[in-house]
Amino acid sequence: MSVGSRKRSVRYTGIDLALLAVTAVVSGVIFTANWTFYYVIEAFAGPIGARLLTYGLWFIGAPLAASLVRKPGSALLGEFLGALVETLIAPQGGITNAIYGFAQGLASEVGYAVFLYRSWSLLPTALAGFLAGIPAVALDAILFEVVGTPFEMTLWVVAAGLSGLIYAVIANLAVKNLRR
Amino acid sequence: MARAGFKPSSLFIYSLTMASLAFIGRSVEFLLIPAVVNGVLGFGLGSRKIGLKLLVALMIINVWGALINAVYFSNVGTTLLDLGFIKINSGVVKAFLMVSLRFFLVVGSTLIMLSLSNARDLIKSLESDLRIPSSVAFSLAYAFRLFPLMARDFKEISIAREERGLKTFTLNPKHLKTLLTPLLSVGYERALWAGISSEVRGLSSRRKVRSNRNLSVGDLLIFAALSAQVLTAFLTELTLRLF
Repeated sequence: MSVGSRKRSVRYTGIDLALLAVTAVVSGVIFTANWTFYYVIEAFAGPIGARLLTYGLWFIGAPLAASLVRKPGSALLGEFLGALVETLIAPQGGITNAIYGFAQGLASEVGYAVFLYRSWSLLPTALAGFLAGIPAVALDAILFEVVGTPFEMTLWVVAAGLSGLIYAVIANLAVKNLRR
Repeated sequence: MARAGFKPSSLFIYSLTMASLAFIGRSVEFLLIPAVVNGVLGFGLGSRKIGLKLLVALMIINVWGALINAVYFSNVGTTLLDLGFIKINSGVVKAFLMVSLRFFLVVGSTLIMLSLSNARDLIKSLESDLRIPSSVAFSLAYAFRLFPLMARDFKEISIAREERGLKTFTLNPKHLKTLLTPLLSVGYERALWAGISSEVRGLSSRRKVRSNRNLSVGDLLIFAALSAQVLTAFLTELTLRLF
């Protein structure tokens, strides 16, 4: 990439890949721990409360990686690698974790693509976190039979999206502190 | 990789196909045989490598989750049980069975993959046989190298938090940032130098590893088992629909 060029490089250097590995470990561990929290919270707070409090933690790999690496594709890779690590360290959810990770990462990537990969601030990060809620609820419907009325489904998407938004903002702020 | 006489990538394909079967399956009959086969084999093999206690805990959490989900989302149909404060309808039983069978199918097949291969060999095999991008393979391999180091970092951060009167581990959004920042900070520094080191040693010009090894008898057995289960699932469904 030439100096002063507006176009960002999409080539991943060794540093970028090592940073992706760091986010994969952090998010993989969070994803694994979140299963227990989800089931406990769902029993007390119901489906909307559980989605609002825990789903965002399953989407945190994308904003964490994108805020750190700041390259096109980093959100997808961050979420997908985190999900692969989760699959390989704990069999909970099995290989479907990788399918969820890929779909959620792709949705989060759209959040940054909308801004043409020119901004990695809070706004695209929040959008990326929110968008990950859509494939998560859709895959839940197919795999876990979590199907409700259109109104209920909309509520779940909004709750999962808001949760994604909150945790994405937290991830972005954590990375911002790091870059100072 | 050659230890068990088959490629870990064959096991990965097996596990991925089984997960796809769980997504496709819309009836108990369709899922029953693959779920029982993979559940029994996976939990049998997995208990030796991962530990029986952990697997039992995993099973309890998932069965509990399936039950809660079924009561919340599928409590329709004829009433089977009236507990006073809640009625259990036929929909709950069907949804519970479906989700539990999917769990045994997906987790069982993943346990088979994890028990018969290790993470490093699997990543190598995915790169050489299935040609996943080398960037993904490098990041995954480095992630597994990082695990013990980050576990040590986490312990040190936990001690520091404890001494300050904070909780050692929390998923509370307010406290999550205070845990993530130091963990990422140490990881960031380490990744920076590891990245520079790998570039200096020629990561960008590294030749892609490609395997030309033919399928072994072990691989063929895995694919035969896979095909047999897929066929059985579809034939069972078809037979029940016709008769």
